[in-house]
Amino acid sequence: MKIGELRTSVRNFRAGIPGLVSLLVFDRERNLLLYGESDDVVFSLGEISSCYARRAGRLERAHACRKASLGKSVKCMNIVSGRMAVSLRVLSEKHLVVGECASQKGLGLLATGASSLANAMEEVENE
Amino acid sequence: MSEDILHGDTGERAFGSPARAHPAGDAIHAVLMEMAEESPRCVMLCIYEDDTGYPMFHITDGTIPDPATFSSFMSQAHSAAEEAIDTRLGEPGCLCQKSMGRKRRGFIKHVMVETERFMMISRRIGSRSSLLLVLRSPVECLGMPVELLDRWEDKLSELVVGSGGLSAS
Repeated sequence: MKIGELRTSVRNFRAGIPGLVSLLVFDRERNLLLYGESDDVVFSLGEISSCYARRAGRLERAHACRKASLGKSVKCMNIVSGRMAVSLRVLSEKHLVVGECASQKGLGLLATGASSLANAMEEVENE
Repeated sequence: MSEDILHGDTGERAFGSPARAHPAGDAIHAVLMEMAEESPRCVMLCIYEDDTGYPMFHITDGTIPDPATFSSFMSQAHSAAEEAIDTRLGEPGCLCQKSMGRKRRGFIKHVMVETERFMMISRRIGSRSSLLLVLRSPVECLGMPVELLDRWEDKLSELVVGSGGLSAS
């Protein structure tokens, strides 16, 4: 799979989740935004991604020293707020997807579609 | 089940001063036990700070080996989530969802963290206090814990913050 196909895959993933405001894919090792799209007209993609990159880093650091009790890795973190629901979902050791939804309903769809997105990312990595 | 497990603090206290018991500690624990009875596969964990700012907790299941770990981790995760959402929505400032007598636009209803072993859901019940539900299996408890939080939040909030014992902020 080429990067272009991956983009199509991510776009299809995004299209399958009505109410999705933003979708960001991060490289976890480098804390780098690989792909991002957002319908937000107030904040830029850079501002949005830096906000979640910092939080993902804090979560991983908080978890790192407590792995034995909590479980080997954090699979997912959902935040449901009065204005939007956000999901940070680990796709693989290398990748993390962040989805912002207008309502909590979108989080379920995001979880369902994440495994196919993870497979697409893995195919790109293996090429 | 040991009392040391049911009520505890989350680590070594500086200077060895003892943690101050919450005046409504027994009532808080009784509410948590009622919640646990309603949802038998869940473990309820209530965290708050004593008047010196030291984190304390109540837990309903003595088989959890290290409840302080959950308390500490979820407190950090919840705070990180609040800061991120405040930054994201352009509303920096107070973390309390009911600050100044009204609900903020971006307030957090709950934060859920899932590992291979547990699913943890937390909600603030005061400016510093969180309620945690630690689930043994993510699959077994879909949906219900949040509804449980909705129903018991006011009661716990009243006990933790409004009992006249410990400061709320």
